[in-house]
Amino acid sequence: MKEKAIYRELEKAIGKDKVKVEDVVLTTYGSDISVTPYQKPSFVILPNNKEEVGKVLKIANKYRIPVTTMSGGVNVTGLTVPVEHGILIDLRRMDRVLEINIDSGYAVIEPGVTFSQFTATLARKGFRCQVSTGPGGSTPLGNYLMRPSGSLSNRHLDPILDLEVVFPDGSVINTGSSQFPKAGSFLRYGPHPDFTGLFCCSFGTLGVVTKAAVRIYPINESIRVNLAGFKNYESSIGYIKDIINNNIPEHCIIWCWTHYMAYEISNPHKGGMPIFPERLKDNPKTPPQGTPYNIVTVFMSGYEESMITNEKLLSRIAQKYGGNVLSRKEAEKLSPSMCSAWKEFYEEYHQPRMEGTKKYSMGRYMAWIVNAEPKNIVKVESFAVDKLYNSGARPVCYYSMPFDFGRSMFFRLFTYIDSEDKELTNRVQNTFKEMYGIAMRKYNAIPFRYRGGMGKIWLEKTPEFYSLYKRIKKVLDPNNILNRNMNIF
Amino acid sequence: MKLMNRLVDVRKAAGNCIRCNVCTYSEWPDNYTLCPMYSHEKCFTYSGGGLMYIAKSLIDKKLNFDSKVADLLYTCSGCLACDDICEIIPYSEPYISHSDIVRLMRREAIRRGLVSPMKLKDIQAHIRSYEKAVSSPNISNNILGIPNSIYNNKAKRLLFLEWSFLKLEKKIYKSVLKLLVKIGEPIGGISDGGLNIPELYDLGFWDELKEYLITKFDFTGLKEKELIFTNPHFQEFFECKLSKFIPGYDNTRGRHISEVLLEGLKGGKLRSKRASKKMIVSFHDPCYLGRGLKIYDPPRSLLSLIDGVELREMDRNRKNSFCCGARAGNNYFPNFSRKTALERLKEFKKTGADFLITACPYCKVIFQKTLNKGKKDRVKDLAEFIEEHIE
Repeated sequence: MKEKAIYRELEKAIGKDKVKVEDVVLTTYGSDISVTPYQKPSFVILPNNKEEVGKVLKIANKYRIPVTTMSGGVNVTGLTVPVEHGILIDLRRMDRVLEINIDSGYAVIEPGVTFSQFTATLARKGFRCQVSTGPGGSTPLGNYLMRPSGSLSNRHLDPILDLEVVFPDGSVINTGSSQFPKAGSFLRYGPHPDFTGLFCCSFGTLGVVTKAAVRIYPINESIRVNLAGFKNYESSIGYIKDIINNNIPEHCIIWCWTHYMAYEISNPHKGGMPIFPERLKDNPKTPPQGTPYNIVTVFMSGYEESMITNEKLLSRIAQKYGGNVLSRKEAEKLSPSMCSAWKEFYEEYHQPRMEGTKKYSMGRYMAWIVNAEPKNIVKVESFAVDKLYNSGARPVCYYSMPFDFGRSMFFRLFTYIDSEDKELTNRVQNTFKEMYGIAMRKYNAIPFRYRGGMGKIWLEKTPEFYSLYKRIKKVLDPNNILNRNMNIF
Repeated sequence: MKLMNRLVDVRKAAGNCIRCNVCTYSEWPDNYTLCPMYSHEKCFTYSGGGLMYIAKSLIDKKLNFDSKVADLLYTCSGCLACDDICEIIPYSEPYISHSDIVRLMRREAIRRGLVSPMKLKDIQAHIRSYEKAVSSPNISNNILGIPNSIYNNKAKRLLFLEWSFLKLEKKIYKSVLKLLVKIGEPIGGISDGGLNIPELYDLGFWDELKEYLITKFDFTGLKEKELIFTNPHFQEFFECKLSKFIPGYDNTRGRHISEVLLEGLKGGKLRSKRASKKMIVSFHDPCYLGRGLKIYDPPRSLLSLIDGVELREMDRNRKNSFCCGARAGNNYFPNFSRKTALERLKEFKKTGADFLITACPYCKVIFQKTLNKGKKDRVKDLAEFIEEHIE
């Protein structure tokens, strides 16, 4: 009865074509690839603008219906799985690049803009953005709001400048310099408190973001992707710290050998290699003869002369840490698919088109992600790889990168598990929980994002912070309708 | 590749979809929307990925298999765009494409009696009407209408006649025959026996199709022949799908008529007429010729050898071609087939070309149906167009 009344109101407010109640639609929004239990919403809303978002939120607030928002829905950890009988707002139709300011270096985008769309639009203007390691169909706004692990997070940890946010009472605010009429989005901070940051990593629990200004960068005259192989993770970290301190890279990433080998998957029906290279089942601590334990990709761009100088320097610094620079030919011998992905990711500034997603065919993606200081991340790598390997998960892969000029190191450990294997899935889930505890307790690491319902557990460890968070929540979303699926309020 | 029998067998593949949306648009940097349903209404459900989530939900019994679901399944035009670009589903066990998972769901819909009774009745009547039909490459009398000057049932090449669509395809077939006479090489013939084989496959009538192929279709000596197709749906079925029904039969040698005509023009057996004026043409890549068989260049090369022809591409071309909508068999979205054709015709109009050339009879029919009176002649099949401009 109540649902009928809500439907009538929604339909009246934004039009029938944007309110979906057919079972066939609702069901497809009830789950993702993660282990998060299936929960069917009662309504899927596809708004075209912030006004419509505001109208929907007001109705939801009136009836106290939980609302879950998604920009593109590409998520592998259940963050956009709705609440049973709730409203799912899918923002994919708000997909306009509203402004590209090449003078100041920002673009204003709507939530439904995909990375593929954004990177292509920018490339045509000679610009680029921070590119996430997710697929091209994922959205910059969704990714950036969760603090990305993207292609430029070494220098610019946070790609967002300002936001437009809609609240459950239908009101709208702008953060950053765009709150000043006609000022544009050139500055995130001051003279007021940084409210942009309030909505980053709040996972949609405080408001619905309907627009964002994000940092963009010019594509420089000369571009280089330098590859260096190392015998262990500690050497890779030493190398990275050294080159960052000497202002060489724009960004760099450490790739475990099992990860770059994981790109070498091909469909047996199209010919080529087997679906799952056998050697990926091996312990990642013992790479095959002649295979570097880690490859560090260093991305540089600028004037050609400085590139030539930097390449020489990189060779010298790699040797200092027992490593060696790999030629493109050598790297291609190791992993042609990964080389092609690196080229697209770094040299063309967009997500790998094909090889980037193929590895998901190996099964359910399960990841464990932490950040820690460089000296601690070395210890984290050492215990975490063993722990996941001993759980029986195969393959065990990781990649790691510096954030904020190496102040912290990001470490993402993951595996692909047969989605039908529930026993192993549970075991890995429990192993991850245990690993978070160890990493936080012993190595002062902090978790990267909420996943697997861990948000509340982590918040409870910091009661003062949690209390403030709850007070803010009470002001912005008094009826707790927003992203209740995060289970933190 | 074996034929999946049960929906549950594809759970793992369907369950691996990460909702990356790659199935809805073309490769970077063009990012054209290619999925007709998604183009019509931007909603995850109406995409290749959405259909995978439907499959998973049906298997897990989260969704009732009702007529609304069946409606949506039959509305998908099967344009192969998602198959072509997705790097997850076809790489997951049991290595089956989106389109085949959709066909499998359709098959289940038929089993459950969820196909519109009218449609079912039509198809079953059609099947019954051809109970006595037999198709064989060894037909002694020339019932296919191939002129005696070139007909030879022992010839290496066989022209495949789509009898089931003959009424609408007659003009194309006549043009093909005239061109083959000019080429002058001996040719035999074979037909579908009157039953639209790929249509049965696409719609999910797999049991009926298997029985038909086993009992009515004579494969004797077919392996040694080269089959010439005017309809890419048939060619794709015979080259890529037949072995699922007839185990071991995996080497049909097919050639599209555009390749044969190109050979004729290049070899001097066909000669272009001198053009009195320039003709601007745009080529629509049929889904099964392009994405299905990867034949992109021969039709273009052929057109470029015709005097006075200037080829002007639509924005979405080759593997990024947009479906004509002809095979969207249902109306989950009202007038979906026509609206899809209109979207494509709008793109054609933008080119400023005089003629829209295609190489699939279904595309030709839907485009002609959709165009206003007086403009229908602007759509031509490739063979017809070539025949008109050959000495």
